[in-house]
Amino acid sequence: MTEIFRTEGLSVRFGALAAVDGMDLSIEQGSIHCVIGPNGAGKTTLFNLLTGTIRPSAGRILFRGEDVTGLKPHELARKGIARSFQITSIFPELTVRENLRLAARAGRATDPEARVREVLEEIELASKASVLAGFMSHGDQRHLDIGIALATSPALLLLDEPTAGMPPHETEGTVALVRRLRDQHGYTTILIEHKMDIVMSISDRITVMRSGRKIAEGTPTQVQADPAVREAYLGGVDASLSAKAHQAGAATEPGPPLLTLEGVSTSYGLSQILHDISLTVRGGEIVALLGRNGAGKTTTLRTIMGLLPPRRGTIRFDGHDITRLSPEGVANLGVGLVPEGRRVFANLTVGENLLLPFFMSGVPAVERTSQLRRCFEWFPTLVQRKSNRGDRLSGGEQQMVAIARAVVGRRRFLMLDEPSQGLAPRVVNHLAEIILEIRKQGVTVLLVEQNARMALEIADRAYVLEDGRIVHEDAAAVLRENPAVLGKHLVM
Amino acid sequence: MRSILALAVLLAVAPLLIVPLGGYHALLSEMVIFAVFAIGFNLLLGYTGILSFGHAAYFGLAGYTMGLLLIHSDLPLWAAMLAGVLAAGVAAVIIGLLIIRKAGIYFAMLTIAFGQMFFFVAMRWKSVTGGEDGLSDIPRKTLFGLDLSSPVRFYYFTAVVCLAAAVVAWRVIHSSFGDVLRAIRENEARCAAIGYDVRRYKLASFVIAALFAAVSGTLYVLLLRYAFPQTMDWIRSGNVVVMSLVGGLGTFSGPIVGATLVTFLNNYISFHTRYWQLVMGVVFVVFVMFFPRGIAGYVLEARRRFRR
Repeated sequence: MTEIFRTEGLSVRFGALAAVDGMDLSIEQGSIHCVIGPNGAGKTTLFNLLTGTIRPSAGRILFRGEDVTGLKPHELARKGIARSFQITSIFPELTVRENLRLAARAGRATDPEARVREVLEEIELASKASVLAGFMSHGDQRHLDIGIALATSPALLLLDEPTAGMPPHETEGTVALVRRLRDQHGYTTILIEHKMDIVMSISDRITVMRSGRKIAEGTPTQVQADPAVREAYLGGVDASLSAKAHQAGAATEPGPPLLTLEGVSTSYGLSQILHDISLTVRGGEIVALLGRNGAGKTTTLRTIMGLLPPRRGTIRFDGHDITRLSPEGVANLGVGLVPEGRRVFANLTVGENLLLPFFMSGVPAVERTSQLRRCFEWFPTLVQRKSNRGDRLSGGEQQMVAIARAVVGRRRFLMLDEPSQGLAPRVVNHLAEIILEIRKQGVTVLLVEQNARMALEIADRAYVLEDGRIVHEDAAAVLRENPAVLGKHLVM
Repeated sequence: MRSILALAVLLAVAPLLIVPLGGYHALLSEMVIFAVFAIGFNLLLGYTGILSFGHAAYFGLAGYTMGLLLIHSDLPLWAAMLAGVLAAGVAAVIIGLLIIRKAGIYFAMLTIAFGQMFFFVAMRWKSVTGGEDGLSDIPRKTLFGLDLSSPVRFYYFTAVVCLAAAVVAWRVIHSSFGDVLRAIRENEARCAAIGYDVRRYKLASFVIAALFAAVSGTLYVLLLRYAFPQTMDWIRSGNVVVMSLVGGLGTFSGPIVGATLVTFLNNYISFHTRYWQLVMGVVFVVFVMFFPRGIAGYVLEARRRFRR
């Protein structure tokens, strides 16, 4: 076996965050090498490093024995490294043939038209060669995205979630394509993929990432058996949390349904993300919404918030039909959303961030002060940080600010999108306690989490999403003790 | 090539039509001259998707350079024009290299800044540029022995240049180079990811547009026999953006339609009211809000539908 590509200690930092940290990769010629890991593990950042979109802060990249570290995207492309994109990246107002011709010419094909014909056959779009790319179905556009990379006749193909947002029957076609490229044409492929059945069936080798680091590597069988991998996907909690959670949990008695979704379906453009979602959150509950990356968790929250109106179904909150309500309208009913990645305003101080919800709502100054005081009572660590700018806070502190900002101003219902992402275990514990405290104050919580263990410790009930459908619903205490369900839907 | 033929015919018969329409031959020349400017600018804005508010700088720089050479030297007209265009080209390469890595609003602001630098040099450097008064009485020499003194003759000279400019633009648009420009407009990141050095193509597009502006600028100064600082003001740069939008961005005939129409309307309305800029502003707003694809954009679509 010959090695075609390797990285040595490849790292990049964004401020305090080590997005990719000391990655060593070695890719065999003619193999399919999968990179997997939970959301935020640094997989796409790794691809951006490998294709020159981001410059590494340390480490080397070697392609066919040549040091290519620090080359620009177009230079790497000319060396023979081609990529497809997680979010479809094509030339929408050009025809399929023009899309491929541009790439074939860029790849210095001796006969660009012949190369275009070959690729058209390969990606099964020959019959649509003259169609404007932007008018095709999502699945066809995904294939064209791969086709553009192929048309440059690369020596190494990097595919970033090629089946993202595809229904099962289209997924099969893509998997067959990737397999064919290896078996019939000898292509070397590095693949980021979340659908575990695909990963297991197609990969020669798998690298598992978490928090920017490689935590496991090997054949599919080896990786599947690795306890560190299971840990990475389910997350972890301190034993002390369990006791606190049970103490806190015993005090509450769920009230009548506060939020109800009935048969909700949502689409992004052409791809349908949510299929017929029905769920209920009762007053005073903490409900967890679990699922792998891309299962539709964030989309569910955005749909409830009114940021993404559903195609079908109804959403009711506290007796109001909020299906077609604007985000402001939903917020004014007392619904708060803490988005993924926290989105604390970097240029504003902690105090200013917290006061933001009041600027628009005409709250009298006295009320504002009392709300702010309440906020600092809940989050005492923020008091000393009051005058610090948002970008001078640690990840944990930013998360506190984001939550505090969402609960001030009389929110009754709080939706949290992956609050534990990127936080140290100790901080995750503290965060869990805060969520319990918020509930104690009478706020109902819908919690989206990758850290299933933490979520199930503090939640009353949980729903499990897969491919945009609810596949399981249970009391958190029951689900916690059900490794079969957790493994099937959340791990691999 | 049918568009080119149609343009040739139109340019040939235009002098017969302009007088009944309430115009005059010098106005016709002005319309055609701005068409040259807009044709080049369309390659930058319409095809590559780069917004510049500073291309009047090259329009004016070429005009001033040519004017100075005609006044102070014995160079023949063609050589003075060429020198003006080359000077503008060199300036565009230098400025382009400095600013092309910026994108969007930052790029647009930098183009204004550099454009205004030229404007202020023309205003302040009195001993050479004549300051606010500009350069007047620029001789309109013969071109290869051809006398250009009559308005009709001068018009046909600008018409030939305009036709040549349209042919060059046609070839650029229908070349593989033109395909890459369009690809940059559609999706710059992907364009780089398949191996195109996006910055070089953007710079080339920037400079080509500047060369068209320069040719247009030399003709304009020759038409008026007068060069003045306002030729390079950013308002003139903005004017060519308006022409491109009204005509239809990224269409071959759009800039020609837009430039001639806007120039004609400017002239016509300013003859009737002092508030002509207000009227033009309203026209612009209406186009941006309700007809964002411009006149040519809608004509093309209507034709496509009709054929189906």
